[in-house]
Amino acid sequence: MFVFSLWGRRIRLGHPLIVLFVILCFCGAYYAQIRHLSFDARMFPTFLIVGIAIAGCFIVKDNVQIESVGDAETPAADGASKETGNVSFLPSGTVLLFMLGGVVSIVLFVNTIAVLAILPAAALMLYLAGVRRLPILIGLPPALALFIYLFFEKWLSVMLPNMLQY
Amino acid sequence: MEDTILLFINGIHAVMSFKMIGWMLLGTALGLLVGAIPGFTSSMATGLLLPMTFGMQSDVAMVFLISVYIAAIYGGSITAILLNTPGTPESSATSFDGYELTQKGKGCEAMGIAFCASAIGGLISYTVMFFVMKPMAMLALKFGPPEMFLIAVMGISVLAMLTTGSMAKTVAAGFFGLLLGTIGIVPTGEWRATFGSMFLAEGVQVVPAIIGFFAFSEIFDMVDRENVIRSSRNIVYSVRKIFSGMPMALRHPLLLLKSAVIGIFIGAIPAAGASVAAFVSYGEAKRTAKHPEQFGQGAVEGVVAPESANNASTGGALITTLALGVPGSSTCAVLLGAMMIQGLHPGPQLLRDQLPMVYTIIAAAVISQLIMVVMAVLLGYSFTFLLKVSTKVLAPALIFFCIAGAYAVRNAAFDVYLMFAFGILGWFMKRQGYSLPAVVLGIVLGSIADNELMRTYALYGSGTVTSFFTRPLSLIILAFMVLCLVHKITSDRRIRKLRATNRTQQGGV
Repeated sequence: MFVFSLWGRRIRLGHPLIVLFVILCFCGAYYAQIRHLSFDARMFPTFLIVGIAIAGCFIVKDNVQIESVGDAETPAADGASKETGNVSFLPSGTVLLFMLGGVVSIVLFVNTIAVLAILPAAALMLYLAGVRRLPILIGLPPALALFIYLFFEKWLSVMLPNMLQY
Repeated sequence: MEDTILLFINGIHAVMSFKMIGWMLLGTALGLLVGAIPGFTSSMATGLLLPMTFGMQSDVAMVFLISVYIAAIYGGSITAILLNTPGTPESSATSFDGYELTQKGKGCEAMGIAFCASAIGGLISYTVMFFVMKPMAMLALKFGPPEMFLIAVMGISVLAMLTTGSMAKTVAAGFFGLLLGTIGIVPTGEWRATFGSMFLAEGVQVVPAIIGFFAFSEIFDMVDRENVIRSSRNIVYSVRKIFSGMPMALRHPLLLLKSAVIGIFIGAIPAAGASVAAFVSYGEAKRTAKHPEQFGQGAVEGVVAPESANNASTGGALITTLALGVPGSSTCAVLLGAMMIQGLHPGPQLLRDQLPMVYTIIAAAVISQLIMVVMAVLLGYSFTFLLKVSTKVLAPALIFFCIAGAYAVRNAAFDVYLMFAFGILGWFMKRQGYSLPAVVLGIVLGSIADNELMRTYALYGSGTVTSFFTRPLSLIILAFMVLCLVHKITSDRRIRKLRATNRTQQGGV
């Protein structure tokens, strides 16, 4: 939970408001795109955006607590620590590194010959996930690359990226 | 009636040859395997294997594809239960309780429950198909645009009303999913919210959304622990344990029957699909359960209901496909194409001129259910080794499968990036109590709901709202939604009273 003071009041904001903020930003961008379209094209999305806004009001009601600075501290609504700026919503170190590994692997995967991209990408992701055993770091990537190549390209005839740029 | 039975016996006879059984086994094996891979839908599985049928006789080709279709849905439940990464959208609802059972060390039993429920649901569905194909097809045609819109919205509203978490968050998530589902080119020809991207002109693809929200968010969760199962107990996996789960499904005969009926009816409605059937069946099972609070914690009924419904919906979808020539699901659209390639003409003409072929297909579907159970048990057991592999090794491998699955949809890197974005968003949403199934269901249903609302408006103009109250079928659907809302309000009040009573008792002590 985020806690800050404003005009003599202590305001607590729950973490669910972050996702709500992202969704509302998307709604704003969406509406900016459709405001010049015909009524038919705007009808259902407008109804949905209004619905999200109404649901958002209830989410805000459940996740915002305002109290006077002099009041006794109330328990956090989402059970999180009462300390300011607690980082429980942030990814743990492993997950954050793994996400970065995922970004790198996807970039490599779709921007080069897929099967070859798996070799460094898999090794990187295994290392970032915490694997340190050399047989796995050296053996698994080629095995995985071979399996994906045989299963997807040869057997199912599913195209894998091949020097494609996006 | 005697003619019908004779035709069915002839159909069984046509299927019971080494060649036909061989193709059914192959179709089942391939369908199971492809369906188990996150992101590969039953329609993709059927589409991918369609070229194999070009040189086949028409009856062999149809038997093979039907086996693939049904097996892919079975396969999706294996990874839904073991890894919380549904292999197919139809298996999304199965993961709610199936994965919780895996966490309790009962993954094998959960698979047994799922396979048995699927088989029973499928058998009921094809028995119904056998007797009432024509009348059901005519009833499905009575569903007009207002009813189709309500069916689409009903999926989200049922989820919202039956959630034990925050209803507001589920509604927000569901509407957000519906909004994502409306991106793309509108029937009026306008480009809606494509943000200048050619790839979004076709809309947000379902497969990257499913993989991103379900699979990726689960993979991120996995990385922080040593194994898929959080408990450190030594759990034994065996084929015997999978078979021991099957009688657990049979202890709920009424639920099996009710879920199968829901699956048949919703499957028969064109474009509604097995995903909707599974979610509605899950919601209905929870609504009428003695202990609804156990749903989401590993309730057996939470696996029985969606699995029975999603397999039963294949029969319903085939009814409209064969009898009317209108695909009951996206996979049936592929099957329709396959039939035309083979020189068959689905619709009333097929029932008039090629009735033996229709009953051969039904017979193949019935026998497939039995073959499916055995092969699914073997595949499910072989997948349990994944639970013993360290997540540090499993997660990268799963990511590459997910990338291949997302890329395979349109051979577009955009879908892979979209999958990753959904994965990160889904991971945060999950941690903050938002419903990921609601988002994914919304994306699946968004374009259907939007198109049907536009058609309703085109038909009724300013009378669009009243049309929902003046059509009998719409009224029935609305009544069901109101029933769910009343149930939600009364059960919330009951829970609040119980909590207040408990607090008073604890304070008194």
